[in-house]
Amino acid sequence: MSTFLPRRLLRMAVTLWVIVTCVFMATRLTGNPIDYLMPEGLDAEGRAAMIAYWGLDRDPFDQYILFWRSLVQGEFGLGLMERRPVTVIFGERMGRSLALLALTMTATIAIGVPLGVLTAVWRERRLGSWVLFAAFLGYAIPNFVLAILLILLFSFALHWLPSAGATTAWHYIMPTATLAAYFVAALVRYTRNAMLDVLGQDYMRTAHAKGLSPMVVLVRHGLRNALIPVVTVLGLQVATLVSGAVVIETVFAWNGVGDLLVGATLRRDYPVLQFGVLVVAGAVIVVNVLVDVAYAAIDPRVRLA
Amino acid sequence: MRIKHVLAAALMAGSAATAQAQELKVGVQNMAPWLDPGRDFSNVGSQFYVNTFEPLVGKDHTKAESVWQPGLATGWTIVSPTVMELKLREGVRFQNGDPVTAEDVALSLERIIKATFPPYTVRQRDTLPNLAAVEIVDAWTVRVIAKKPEPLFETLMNTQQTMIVSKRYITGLAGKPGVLADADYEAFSLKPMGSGPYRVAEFVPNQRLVWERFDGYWGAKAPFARVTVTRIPELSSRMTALKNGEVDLITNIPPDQLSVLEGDKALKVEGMVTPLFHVVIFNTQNPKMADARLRRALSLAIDRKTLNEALWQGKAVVPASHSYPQFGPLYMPELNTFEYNPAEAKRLLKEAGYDGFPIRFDTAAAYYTNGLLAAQAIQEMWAAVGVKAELKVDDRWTGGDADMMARNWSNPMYFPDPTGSFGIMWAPTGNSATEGRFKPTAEYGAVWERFRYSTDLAARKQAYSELMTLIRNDPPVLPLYQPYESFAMRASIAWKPLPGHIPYVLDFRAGRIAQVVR
Repeated sequence: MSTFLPRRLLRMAVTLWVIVTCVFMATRLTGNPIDYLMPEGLDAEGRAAMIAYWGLDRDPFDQYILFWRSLVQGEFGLGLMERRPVTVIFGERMGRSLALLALTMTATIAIGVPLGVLTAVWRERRLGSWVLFAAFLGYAIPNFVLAILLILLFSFALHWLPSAGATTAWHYIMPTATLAAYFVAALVRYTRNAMLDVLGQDYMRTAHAKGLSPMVVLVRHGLRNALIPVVTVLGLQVATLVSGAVVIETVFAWNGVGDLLVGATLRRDYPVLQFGVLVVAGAVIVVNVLVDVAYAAIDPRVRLA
Repeated sequence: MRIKHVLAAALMAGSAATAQAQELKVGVQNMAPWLDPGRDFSNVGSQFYVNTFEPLVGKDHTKAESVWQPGLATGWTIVSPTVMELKLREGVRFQNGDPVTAEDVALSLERIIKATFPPYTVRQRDTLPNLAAVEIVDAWTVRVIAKKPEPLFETLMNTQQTMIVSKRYITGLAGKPGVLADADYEAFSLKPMGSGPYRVAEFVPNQRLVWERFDGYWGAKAPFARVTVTRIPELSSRMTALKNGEVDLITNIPPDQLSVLEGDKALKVEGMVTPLFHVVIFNTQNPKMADARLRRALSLAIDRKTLNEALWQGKAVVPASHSYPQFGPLYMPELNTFEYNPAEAKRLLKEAGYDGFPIRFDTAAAYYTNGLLAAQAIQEMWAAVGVKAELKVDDRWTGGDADMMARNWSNPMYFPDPTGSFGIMWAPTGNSATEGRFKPTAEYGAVWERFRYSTDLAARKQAYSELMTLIRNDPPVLPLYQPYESFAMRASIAWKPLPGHIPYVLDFRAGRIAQVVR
């Protein structure tokens, strides 16, 4: 355990470095922000002046060194388009995006795992088949289609829920439901398969034979063993969740981090993009470390060595 | 105690209901990244300035042609062909309480006229190249000095770029106190403040703008206590938000979606042909595009009437020349500069010896309404006369690329004179020349000078018609159509776009919008 964290942190740092370097180079190779931010009527002189004003007249390698030096000092720079610190730009949007992701994860686990267990237990019953069918639908339907269907029903026809923005709790319902549909469906299927494997194991029969209550057998002996592959999958899905949120934020006029990153990519707003990738990649990596930690909690055989 | 709570809650609910009637909620396609009327040329920012800022010379926006009115200046005289003297309105205050003085007027104009900050330099070149300085005569009198005789003084003092800002406020925003620096202007563009009827209470770049009524406004008070403008980029989301009662008014509705809204009795639609051209431009400086006959052929091969019928349901307007009704006496549709003639196009292609090399046509995916569809249709129209076109879909502005051949663009009317539309883009100092895709001949330059600076109307008209002949014979541009822009709102809102404004302006001042209480 003592070497686990430092080693993971080091690997984390290397991964981040590779990702950020790739983004740094790729964005600079594919375009100049001046073509997106100051599009019309700039002559060569004005163009050069603006590029210098943004500090983009330096050699890319110097920019790269400067970027890391500033990063170490906790300076993330100003967005080229908004001319405000990128931390402020992200700060404004981060809360609602994180809330959306957290709600989606919570809903996914709270609904997906129990349903997965139930469909495994009810594998002979018709109800189980119906749940599986519903899960299949949730898995198959593209999230933007589901989003529009929900909007048509709950906003357009029934006027129950707001469709645009993130100002009240009501605004969170449809985006969360849309995002969670896919992940709940995925989790139901993973949990069911893992449970089916476990249910046939000898130790389950032993547990029953010891006279433990069916619930205790199912949860303590069954689910706990089944959760290991489920947690792995969950960790991997975080990245998918982030990219799914980009689409959902657009449909629901969320003005969140996903929307910001797409705009920054299109406009080559380097500072915003670099900081955003750093944050998102960092979050995905942290979640994966947490998944590793969760292994140990679930399965005492796993030692974090 | 409990009863007290209930009462308080009931009172609050009551006041919330009245407060709601005082608020207007608007859903827009795009929100600006910063707001500074002086440096802004975009169709996004231009929606908002009229509510917060004011120019020296006012205008009756209900009329297409220019009818000047007192603005922040109560009167003016053209002292000589190069000097305009303006009397400032006394007792006008900025939204922070400071008085509007001659010092502020001088700064507002000179930050552009004598620009060192690159975003202002661009505006100096395309909008105010003829102004030299501002002289403060006394606390309430200023003189605007031009380099050459200036026939457009009133027009120029009415533009968005010359709206008045506060020297003291801007100077105090960033960096050293008392010293005006680029950083002050940057900070100002995030915390804009003017003398108009609505003050900016909150501005979140690219997301949201909240106005509150400025009670110290010198003129008729704003009709709404609060106006919230939120960015809702997706069209379907915008329409749903309106139908669902989340917003009261939405912008940018393409013609094919109008029927969806028109069936709803709780809503209504207002639209207007916008003083803006969607255009096709040709890079005259690309060696492959150098032959004027090739560019003429490409222009003649485009059937703009069909584009209008197919993409705009006939609601757009196909212009005969680069001219808008807003130009008043200078509106010259009779010039007939641009036409559709595929037979002539084929003849010219043959004469020019076009050997079938592909013409690259650049377009953004979704920047202009129907932009990509129009590009695809144009590709087919060119194919019909034997020209091979390759579409390049890229959100980047390629207007300055040496290898650009043709692309779509827009030529908005920035102020109501050919100078403010054609001139901004195609004058010898205009955007197209500075970006290098258009190189005016000496003859063109001479005719332009005559058009721009003649104080005689007939001479200006004659010169403009000569310019249009030069453009027809050696075309760098083809205006496709003036798009029809629609806005949808609750049936209880009385608002419509006004023909006297530049494109896309959301004018919510007194007399321009009302909410009918039922």
